[in-house]
Amino acid sequence: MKKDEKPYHILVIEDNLGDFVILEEYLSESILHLEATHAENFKEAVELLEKNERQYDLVFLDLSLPDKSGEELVKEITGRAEEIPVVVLTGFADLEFGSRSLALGASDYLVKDDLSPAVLYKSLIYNIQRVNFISELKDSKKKYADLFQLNPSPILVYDFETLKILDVNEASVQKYGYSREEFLNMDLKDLRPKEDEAILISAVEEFWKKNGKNYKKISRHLKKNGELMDVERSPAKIKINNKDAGMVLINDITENLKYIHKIEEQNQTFKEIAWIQSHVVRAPLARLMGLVNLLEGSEDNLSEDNQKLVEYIKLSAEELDAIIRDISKKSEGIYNES
Amino acid sequence: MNKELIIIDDDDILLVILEKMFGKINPNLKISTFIKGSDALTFLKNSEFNQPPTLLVDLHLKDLKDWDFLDKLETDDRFRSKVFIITSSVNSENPSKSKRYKNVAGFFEKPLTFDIIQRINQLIVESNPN
Repeated sequence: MKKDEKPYHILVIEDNLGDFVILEEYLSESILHLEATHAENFKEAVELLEKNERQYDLVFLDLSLPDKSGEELVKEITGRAEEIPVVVLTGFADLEFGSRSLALGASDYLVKDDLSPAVLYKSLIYNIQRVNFISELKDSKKKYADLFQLNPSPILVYDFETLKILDVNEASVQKYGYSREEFLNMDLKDLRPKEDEAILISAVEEFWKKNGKNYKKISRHLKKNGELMDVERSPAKIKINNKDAGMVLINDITENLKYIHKIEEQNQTFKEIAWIQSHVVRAPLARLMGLVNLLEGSEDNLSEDNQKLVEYIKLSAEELDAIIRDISKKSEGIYNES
Repeated sequence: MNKELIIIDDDDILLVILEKMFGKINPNLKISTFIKGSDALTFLKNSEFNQPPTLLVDLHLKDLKDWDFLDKLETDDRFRSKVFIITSSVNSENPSKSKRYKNVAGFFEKPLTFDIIQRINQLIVESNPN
């Protein structure tokens, strides 16, 4: 059989030198570059693990050492080995305990009397791989947890049946002012003003019925301090412990709406000014121009000088008229756009 | 037979101006003026006319805003008067809106020049007693 050419560094915690030698020999049959460090008792093992000069790929642990054994030994070693897989070696007498050691943090257990080169090698490879998978899984779990926890927008997770809040992120705590613990004792209704409760119920129903794709709704949410805010909700369906749950991303649009209202108000004022221009201001001007028309058509002969003056009044009035028409036209353009 | 013209405008000075101008163009025209639209409607209701008088109506009366006067006029079948609208407003929507009313015969922006007054007078004089 072709040997594994990857280098492995293992720690063997074993008070029996004979057992250590056998183990090292068995493994060397499959592994070309094996480095096995030997710890004869618990104290030595702890020192080696804590020194942490070298990263061990795997720890083999004999269950009975002169200075510690059993459950306590497994706990102490797995606690210190952290990311390193620990494979427990047990005798027939401790067979039952071997399986229990898995619950204490051990990755695997082997019965000493059954050891063979193949079994040892397989256990070593399998457990190193397994720890790698677990740590990858942990990383990705953390990545998703971070996406939720560190998201700048508040995210609420609620139970579809009871509307109880199941989880919130840090941004929710900041935005609403409730602590995480307070949130977990609340349901969605507590985030709404009393009079909006019916709206909430129908909104949740509608979302769940319609499968809620691209569902976005604006509603009012209450903060702990009683302040109301306008929020845009983007909900999604998820499963938590096999139960339907909703995850809602909250976008506070209070300021945006305020801003829009302000612009609308200003626009209204602007329209009023436009109307005043087009009608109110122009009325006395039209009258003035009418009077000039009348003067011009008068049979009484005006003196040449006065005719000139009437002409000037007319020119001034027409000029003013042109200005008002210009303003009026410009504001009409905005009228139609809005 | 003398034709009749009723001018309705909440600007009393303008009423004087228009009365004088029409008087100059056609001294035979019988002219009545009203500041309030409601008064004009009452007058129309309670008077006997040989033929429907022509109306010259300001679009923005104080008591009957915007198109209210025309709306009221149109709901009553007895009023078959021809209507000319005058306005000091320069809102470009108004002329096309006025076409919705079947008795509206013209739309003019103030000030009314002698040319316009002449045209309106022509239409009044040529109108058939009907």
